[in-house]
Amino acid sequence: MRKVLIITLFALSAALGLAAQNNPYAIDDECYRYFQESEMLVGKDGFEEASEALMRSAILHNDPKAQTLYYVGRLKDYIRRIPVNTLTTQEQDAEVEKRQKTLMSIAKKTGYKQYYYYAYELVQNYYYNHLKPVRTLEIVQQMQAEAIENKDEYGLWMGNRYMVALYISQNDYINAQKWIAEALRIYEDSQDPTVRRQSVCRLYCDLADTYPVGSDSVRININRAIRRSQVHLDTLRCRYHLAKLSAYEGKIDDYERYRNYCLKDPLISQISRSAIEMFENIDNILKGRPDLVVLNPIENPREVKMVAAIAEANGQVDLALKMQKSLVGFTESSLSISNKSKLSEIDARLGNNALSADLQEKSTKLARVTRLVMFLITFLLLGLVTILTLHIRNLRRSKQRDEQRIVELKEANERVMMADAAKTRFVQNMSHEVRTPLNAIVGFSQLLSLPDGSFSAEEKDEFSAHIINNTKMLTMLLDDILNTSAMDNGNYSIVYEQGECRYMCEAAISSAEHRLQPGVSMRYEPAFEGPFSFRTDPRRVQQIIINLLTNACKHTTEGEIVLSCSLEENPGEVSFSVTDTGPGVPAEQAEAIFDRFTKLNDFVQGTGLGLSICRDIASKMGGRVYLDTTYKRGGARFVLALPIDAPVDNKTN
Amino acid sequence: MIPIYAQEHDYSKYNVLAVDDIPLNLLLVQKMLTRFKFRIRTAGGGQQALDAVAAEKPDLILLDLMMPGIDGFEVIRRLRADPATAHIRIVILSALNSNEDIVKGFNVGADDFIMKPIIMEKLLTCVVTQMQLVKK
Repeated sequence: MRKVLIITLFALSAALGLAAQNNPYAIDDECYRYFQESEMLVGKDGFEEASEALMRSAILHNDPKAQTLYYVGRLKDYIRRIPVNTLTTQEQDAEVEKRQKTLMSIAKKTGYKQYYYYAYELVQNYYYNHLKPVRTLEIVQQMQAEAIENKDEYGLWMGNRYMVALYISQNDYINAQKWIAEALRIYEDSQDPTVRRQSVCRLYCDLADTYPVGSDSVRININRAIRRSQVHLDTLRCRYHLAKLSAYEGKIDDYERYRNYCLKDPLISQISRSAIEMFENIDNILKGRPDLVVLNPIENPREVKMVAAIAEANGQVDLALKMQKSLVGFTESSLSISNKSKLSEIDARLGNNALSADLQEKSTKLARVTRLVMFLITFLLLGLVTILTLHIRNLRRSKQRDEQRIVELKEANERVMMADAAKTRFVQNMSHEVRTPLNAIVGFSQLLSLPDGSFSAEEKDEFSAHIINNTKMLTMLLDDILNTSAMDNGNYSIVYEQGECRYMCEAAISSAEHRLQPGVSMRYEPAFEGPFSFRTDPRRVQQIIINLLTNACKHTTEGEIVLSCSLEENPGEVSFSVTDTGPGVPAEQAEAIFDRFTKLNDFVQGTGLGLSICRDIASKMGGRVYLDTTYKRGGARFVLALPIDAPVDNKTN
Repeated sequence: MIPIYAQEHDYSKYNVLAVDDIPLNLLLVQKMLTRFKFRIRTAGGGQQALDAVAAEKPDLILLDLMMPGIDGFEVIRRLRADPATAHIRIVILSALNSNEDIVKGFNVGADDFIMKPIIMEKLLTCVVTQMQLVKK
């Protein structure tokens, strides 16, 4: 019976490495070559060298799995060297457990937990094969406990697999079925990829074996196993079972086909070590040679049971009885183990159920927590996205604002620079403007102060006239500057009263006339008959008109200057116009000339403030001063337009 | 008022060119220099000044700086660049009064600088000094 367990467990261990394909372990190719060599030599001479070569190669290729396999090999080798069914010494047990612990710690480090549990498996086999069933169960329990403690589904799965193997080997099919069901449940519920990689085909095959030979459940479970077979070894296992079943059902052709398939495959030894003997026994029964049948229940009770059933089905009742008897004896001998295992089963089962419930609760909790976390993450992400979007929009807006401000600032700066340049020009210009009349005043005064006889009386009169003229000019200049300064300070008032057009115009002309250049005439030519009065500040009106006339005088060297007044040119306004026959103002300068300190011609006397002052005063009175750009008859035409209905309040600041 | 050494000197053979865009300034200079009996010619701008120099080389030029077109600085530059006119004495009479303008005037080749408003003694002294330097 122990041998049976060994075989089962060995087959189980082999299942881990499944398949005859190249390098099924998915390790480095060179490592795999060394691994194969060392595998061949397990328990034989030369293993040490082969396994050291594997280790060197594994280190060279930095392959942790191959390194783990080295330790697996070392444990396997030591166990294989001790003959089965012998009592082992304490030293041997200690060495086995030492190597087991090394393998487990390595597997834990490298993360290949299948080898961690494989270490248990090997040691458990070792005890079982060396007649220490209690220790075997202890190892299984230990492993189960550890799996439960670590909440490791793979460990649980493996534990269940051992229990299944144990119970089947003891013909305790009821418990075996329970453990199979539990193992299936773990497999189906598991998210663990290591568990999912395992084959359930094998479980269904085991399940088939737990039913009485000939019942429908056997074929049903074999069919299930066929459906769930994943790898070559699964297929082989299914064929192996089908061969037995076919023999029992008397389907000789099918039996022979399956048998041949199984016998041709060298891996059949991984399914069952005694498969070849079993097939020989079946052949002998089928060919009517019962005396050649070898009875050896220890090899594999399942096979013995099967062969007995086949013998019975073929009418060889004596043989069948003999075989079943040997099986019963075998079972009785293992009764103590069975009892022990039942106890341990109850323990393990309790732990298992607790773990199941725990796992389930945990997974529900986990799902709830996951949902909550996902919800929170989604919420947070949404919040983050919203904040980011808003932030980006804000940034973009503030960037736009900044850009706009930069443009504004640039413009402002440009204006300031221009104003500054204009002011500098103005100061230089003013220096010149002031010095020119001053030069005449000072110069001619000096000439006048020379001793008598230097100049004639006529000459002296002329000098005096120059002095007076230039003094007036200087005064006007100062007035302009002071006016501007006054306006800047806001000390500037408009006093409204009735102003009569003709009176204001003629007064302005009489003030400006003396500035006319030789050969130029000046006249007033209103567009309407008779007097016209309106509410305004007559002194300011005269001031503006004088300014416009003075400008005209400066720029007109021939022709005439005409001052006019119209009520129709701008409806609702009184329009005074000054038209000259001078060089005119270029269209592009039409507005610039109203800027402070801007002069069309630097060499024409003046502050460059006149038009700016005019415009300021006019706007204070609700009117405007502008260059008539539609006037194209040579010369310039400036217009002062003032509202006929001025504001009622007397004073406007 | 007039330096003693200049009083009895005959200046009639000296030729002076006054340049200014403002007629009144030219009149003033003419009147101030009356008693020296120079031959005084006038020019109303930079170009006219160059033309007048080309027509007849003066001994002294009284030159305004701020004039439309060719300004006083440019007139000096051109006269100094031409060997035939490089030796002509040039006195600037200008309302420009900043240090930069004065330095610039000397740099381009002016011999003296008189600021407007013109102080008569200063002008006469300056003119007499320049005339002393002209070998006749």
